Amino acid sequence: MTTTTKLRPADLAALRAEIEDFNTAYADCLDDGNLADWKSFFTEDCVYKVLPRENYEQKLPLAVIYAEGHGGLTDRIVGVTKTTVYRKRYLRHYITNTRIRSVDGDDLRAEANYQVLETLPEEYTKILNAGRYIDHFVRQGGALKLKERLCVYDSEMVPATIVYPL
Amino acid sequence: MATAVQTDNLLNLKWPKEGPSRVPYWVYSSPEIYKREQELVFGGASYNYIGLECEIPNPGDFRQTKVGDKPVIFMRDEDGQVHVVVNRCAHRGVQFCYDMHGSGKTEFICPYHQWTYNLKGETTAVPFRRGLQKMGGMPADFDLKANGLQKLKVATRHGVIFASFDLTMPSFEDYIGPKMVGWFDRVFSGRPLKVLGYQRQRIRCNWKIVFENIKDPYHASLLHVFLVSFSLFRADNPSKVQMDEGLGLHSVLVSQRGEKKADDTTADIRQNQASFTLANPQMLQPEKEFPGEATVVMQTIWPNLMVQQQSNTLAMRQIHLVGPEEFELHWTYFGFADESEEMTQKRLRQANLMGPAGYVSADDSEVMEAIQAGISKYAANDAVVEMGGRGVEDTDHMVTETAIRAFYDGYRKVMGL
Repeated sequence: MTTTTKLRPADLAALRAEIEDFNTAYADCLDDGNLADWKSFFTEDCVYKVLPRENYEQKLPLAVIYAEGHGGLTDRIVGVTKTTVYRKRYLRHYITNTRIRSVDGDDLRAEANYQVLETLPEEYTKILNAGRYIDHFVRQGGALKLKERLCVYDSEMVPATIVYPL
Repeated sequence: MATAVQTDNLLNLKWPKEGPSRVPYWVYSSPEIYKREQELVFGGASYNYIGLECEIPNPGDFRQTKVGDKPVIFMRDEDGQVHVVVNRCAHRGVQFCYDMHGSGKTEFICPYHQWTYNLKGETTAVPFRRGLQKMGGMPADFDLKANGLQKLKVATRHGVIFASFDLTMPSFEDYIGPKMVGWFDRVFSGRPLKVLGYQRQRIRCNWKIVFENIKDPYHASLLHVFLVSFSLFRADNPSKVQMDEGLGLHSVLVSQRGEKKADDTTADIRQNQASFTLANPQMLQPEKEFPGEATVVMQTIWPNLMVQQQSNTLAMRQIHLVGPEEFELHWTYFGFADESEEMTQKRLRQANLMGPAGYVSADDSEVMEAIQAGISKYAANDAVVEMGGRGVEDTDHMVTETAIRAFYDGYRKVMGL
């Protein structure tokens, strides 16, 4: 088993840069509205959740969004865009402070802070959600994929509606 | 003729002559109405939902919540009794409890002058009460007992806690009446509950808009394409609407799941996607778990609770007030302590329907804010509520707004309007 402490600093830096590139592409995908491509960042058997910190810390399993597998991610996008009513809006992701928690071969645990701004064209930009990604990456065909992404947001309170994934 | 701009004193708050088939828009924006509601509705002869007993299972456990816009603490004392007190020091009014929840408490101490309260809300210590070196101190006749925290009258039924600022309230069962007790007990049979988690959202509209939303089956079969697509709620499914025997402020919408099909019901829904199917059908594999034919029962208990039972997703939706045109919805999702892991998973998956990102509820939060945006500049105009007639009676179908009319009929009596 390889742990982060055994990796050379240069390897660790390269890995962190790779995750940062991954997250930049992930943010681009959602911010540009390429929702159909969102699932390409995940493994087929992935788990994606958005949940408040209070549930996470009290070990309460409930999420606000809970999607399983590429099917679940597709349902989230199609369900939102085809069946629900909402006003036009733009998202802008800021993903920072990437830290690698552990490395075991191609199995990688990492976290990053995120802030997502939401702009309804007729209103001032507001902070929709802020928290951290708790990620489990694996490598498929050389590329990083998310086996699990938990978006754990800090405030107990969210604005009325979260339309798109974070 | 009414003008677009009106203030409270110009409006004189007179209900339209048509009665309950009209709702004047000033009830949704007037600061005067909001103040009166704090006093007469949330502070008056009503039982407000507080929380679940399983959230404070042990002595010394506590949680904060709100009654209307007033912060309260519910806690369990050493004898196992539940108490509800206001989060306001009896001395100078400090909101002394900062933590939203906790356990292992034996007392609460106000940080300002360290007045100390036990788990019943009684004052147990006032520093320098006898003075210091024969100087100062409270008057000799100062009575600790008469200077405790303000307490609410508490009622519990099958693990659910309610409380009232009115200490003369009858029992909870008399308050909601036998019909509503029957529906309540269908979910809350006494089987021990467990909390699955919380969701909280702030919505920019008047609190009554969400309360009536759960009394409005007309919108559910039209706005909620997702529900209709999967026949979870359709206008042509066997259904009924019932009110309590008293003021008609409590109600239930009852329905049962049908087969997924496209016909004239779905044809009336412009956005209908009859072909919409789930790529991961695991999300929605409901299992029947309550007696009777109904698969969805949405119960409103006046003034701050909506009990959600849609398929296997169970939640208490609690209203906290922020102002005349803003409120918070606090969702407590639950299951049963002895249920299978598989059933818990079903509930967690079906929770995708509800809450701020729910396939169904996100429609509501968007539309509710759009309602407020539409009406708040037009206080002198009225909503038309005539679907299913102008009466307030129970029905055995969903093509009606009877529960909204019954609600405003009762609301006027409570508010003296």
